[in-house]
Amino acid sequence: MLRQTLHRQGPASLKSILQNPARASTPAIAAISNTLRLQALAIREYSTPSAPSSSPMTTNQGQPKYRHFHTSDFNLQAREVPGFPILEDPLAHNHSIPSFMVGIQNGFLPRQDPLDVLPKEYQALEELLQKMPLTLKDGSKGLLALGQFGEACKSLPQYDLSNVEDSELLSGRFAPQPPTCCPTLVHTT
Amino acid sequence: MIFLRPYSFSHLCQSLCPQQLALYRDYTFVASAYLLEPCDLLYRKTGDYGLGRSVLPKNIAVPLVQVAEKIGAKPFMEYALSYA
Repeated sequence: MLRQTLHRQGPASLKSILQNPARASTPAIAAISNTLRLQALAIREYSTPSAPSSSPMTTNQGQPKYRHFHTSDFNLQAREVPGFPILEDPLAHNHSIPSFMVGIQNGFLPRQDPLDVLPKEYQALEELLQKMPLTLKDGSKGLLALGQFGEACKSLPQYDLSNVEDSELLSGRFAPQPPTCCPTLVHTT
Repeated sequence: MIFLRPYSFSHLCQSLCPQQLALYRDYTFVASAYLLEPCDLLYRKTGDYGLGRSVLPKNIAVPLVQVAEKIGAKPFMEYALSYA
């Protein structure tokens, strides 16, 4: 309402007075006076630090009262959502809970680190991926740089992944691999 | 007021495990590299991409579909599960 009043009355009255100062009527001057009064009121309202409750809040007259957003509002508005726990421990070995959970250590990333190297069961695929990048780790050209990747794919066996589970990992059949660079990352960088 | 229909993430809760994710990630890279290799070669030679391969061989396609179904993903490179 304040804004509407300012926009409607102020500019029109001011314009007519500036064009014909001698003919400035009493109602026009009164309108400008009223406009200035409302403007001052609005500035006072905007600049007054308001109560740290919901925004926008309502005054006693039923008019919405807006205020600037402040970062401290996060502390006042943020609250824990029931059933949405924040993990302090990523529980990397727990496979009964979802991989994508929000935690202090993992943030929004999965709880477990990805496998750098595939298990020995998929050695042919792993070797193909290691040879795939444009530039290999030793600086030489890879299959994609040489244009030989398509031909190399013909020798890839067709693995049956219909029963792939992590039971092998859970039972410790595959020892932790030494930290090596992920072939996919080499390719992308 | 609009109420959003709750999505089911039960498939994600049950089956996202490191080995499946790693296989999915690697097979999607193999599939994309295989299909787009001609484009890369042509681009380096002429500056034009041309067309990629039109057929993905079954030794790549079948395992990719199998592992994608297990983790509830589409059998092609995805942002969240492949290169993010």
